[in-house]
Amino acid sequence: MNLLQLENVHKRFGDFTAVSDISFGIEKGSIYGLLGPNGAGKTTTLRMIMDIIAPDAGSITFSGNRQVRDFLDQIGYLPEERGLYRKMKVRDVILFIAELKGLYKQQTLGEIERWLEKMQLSEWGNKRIDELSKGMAQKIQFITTVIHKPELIILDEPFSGLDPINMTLLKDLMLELREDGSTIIFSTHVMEQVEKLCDRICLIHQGKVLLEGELRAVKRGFGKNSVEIEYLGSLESIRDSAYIQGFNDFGQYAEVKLRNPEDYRQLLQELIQKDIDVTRFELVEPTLHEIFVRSVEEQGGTVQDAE
Amino acid sequence: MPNKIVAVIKREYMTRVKSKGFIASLFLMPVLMCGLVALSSFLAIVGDKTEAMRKLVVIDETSEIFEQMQEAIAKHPTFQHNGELVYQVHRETATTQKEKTALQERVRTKKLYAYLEIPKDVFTNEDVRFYARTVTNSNVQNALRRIISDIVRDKRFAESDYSRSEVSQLMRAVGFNAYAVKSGKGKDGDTKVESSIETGARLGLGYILIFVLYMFVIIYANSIMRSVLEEKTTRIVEVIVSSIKPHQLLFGKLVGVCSVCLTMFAIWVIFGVLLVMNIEPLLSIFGIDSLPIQFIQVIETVKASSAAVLTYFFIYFIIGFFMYSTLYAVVGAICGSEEEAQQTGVPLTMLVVIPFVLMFQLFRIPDSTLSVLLSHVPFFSPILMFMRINVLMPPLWEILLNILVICATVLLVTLISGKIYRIGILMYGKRPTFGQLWQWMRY
Repeated sequence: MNLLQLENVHKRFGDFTAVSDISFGIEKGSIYGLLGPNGAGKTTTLRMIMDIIAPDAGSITFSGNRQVRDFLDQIGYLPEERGLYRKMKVRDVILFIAELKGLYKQQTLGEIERWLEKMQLSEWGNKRIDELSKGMAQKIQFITTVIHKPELIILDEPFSGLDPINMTLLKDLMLELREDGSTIIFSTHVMEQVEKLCDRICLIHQGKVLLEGELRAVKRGFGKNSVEIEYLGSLESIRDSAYIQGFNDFGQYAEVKLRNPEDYRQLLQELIQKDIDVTRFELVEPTLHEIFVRSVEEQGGTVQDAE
Repeated sequence: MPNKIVAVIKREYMTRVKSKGFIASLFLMPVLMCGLVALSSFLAIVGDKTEAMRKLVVIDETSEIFEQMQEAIAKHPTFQHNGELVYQVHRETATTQKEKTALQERVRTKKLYAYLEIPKDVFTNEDVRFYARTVTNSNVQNALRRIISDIVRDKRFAESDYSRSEVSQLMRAVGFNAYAVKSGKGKDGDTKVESSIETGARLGLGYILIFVLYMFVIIYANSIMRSVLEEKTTRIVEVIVSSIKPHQLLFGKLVGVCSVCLTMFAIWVIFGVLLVMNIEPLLSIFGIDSLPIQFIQVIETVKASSAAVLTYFFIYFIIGFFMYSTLYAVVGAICGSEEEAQQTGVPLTMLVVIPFVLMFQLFRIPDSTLSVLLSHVPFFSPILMFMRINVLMPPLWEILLNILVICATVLLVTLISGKIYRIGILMYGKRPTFGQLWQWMRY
């Protein structure tokens, strides 16, 4: 049984349909990525899981129970909009939120120190939140999300606003938490961030699920329609061939996008015919972003969000 | 009570009690109160004493008053500063309008403090006229009026067959003391009487308490509003309501902040009791051994009445606090910024200000239909009913009924507000309309 299961969830705000018929399940001990451009319905979905807003239709179950509210203490939630009590000291804020999750002071104090050390923020423990940098405050907020060792961790855009170092730190933490048995669902609109991190993904667009499944399976399903070529000479003679959809030439290296994955044979033949020296010819998997754009187009839509 | 609500209460309580504002008001409020009383009585005594010389011109058309008047002024304390005369009195004549205009010009340009016209017929019927840049200083005017009246009366008596001392002996007013008849165990029955000093002491205590109630409800209800707003604008509320139900959060907040007020009151009451109980040894430190009888009466009255009055104070403060603060919390929940909340909160502030203002008139007629009716309007009760209890104790059943009605109102307000609050704290953007609020209430 999945730890979390959404079935045909709908949510409307007035005339605007925010989420339409979304279903997916999250296996225990996995990392699940909820992907989509801004306004796709990611935050609304996560808020419905947290029972902050109620779905108009459909069901959300946690370990098979429909009353997710009864299990909120086993869930950690990092909202998209970050914020903590600005005038409170770091340790007090963490303790307060831990107590809201039903922990007692004695059992929490050691845990707070462990996390502060891990985040290299020990010497900031007695500072007020408004004395911290934005990045530090985000790390503190992450601690408040996981301090009670939740079974399910919900992170809404966890990477936004982080520098590359902290981004790596957060990725490592997420993997570590998964090793320890936690289940994680997070949302992001920057799809490159999730490659290699997610076990499963769900692509949503305008409130609808475009694609859902295991990350590797999703990629395999789309086939390898990109080719990277390292060459000597010029590729001018082949660039207008009918089977080529996109062409990005860097002089001795080029990325070629094909209309169909099978067309790579034609390309290879033509390169030989035209007597171009090829030192490398590799078929590459599509990026998630490409998959997203293609899925939107396949369904007759366009991607307004330029990212 | 669940640990979670305790956590909210603790946070609201500790952040406030530890703040500099709390420590400051703990000490400053009593100092400020005493200071205000002391300052106003000081001002009343001092009036507008001046150190600089003030010139006063007298136009004495009778030619019979000036000398005596000058002498009297020289002796009168109103015209002195540290035992020195600070008023120069001159006599001038001004008969034409032009001369009078010139005098007025000197007053306007501050060459003169004032000038005084004593008309010829002052002995019979005409009035004395006093001209100064401002005529709000009644001390100087009253002193001058008394001095001139005395001189004029002497003159009238001299021309009559009566002796002044005999007439004033015959004309003196009777003493008049007011006593409030109250129920209670007196010497010979179920009534006891209260002198005006005792009434004054009791009312004084009552006024201070009403003032404290009024001020604390406004200050701390606003504090709750800001705290709701902070949670909303920093979005931390999303984390909180994903751990605890919104009405639990609201309840925790109200209890936490109410406890802050009660802590402060408790400290004041303890200090006040210690002070009143040990007033005599304390004063003897300052070399004051015998106290005036009025003062002892005041102290005794405060001792006797404070237990009951304080009990009612705490009851009405707590229910009043919950009633108003819940509404302020809702304002915080439906607004997006502090400015917006301050504006939206104005009608609520009126709910507290109106009974406070009405009180100053209604305390004269505590048992009139108007007073009784208004004191039963739930939002006015904490101030007006508490005023009635202080001035003229209503029957116990009426108080109990009133408390019951307010408690029911608090419950109703909390239920409705809780619903709006629950939705409001998670809504961003435009402030909801009344129509939307109505919808939220019915969710």
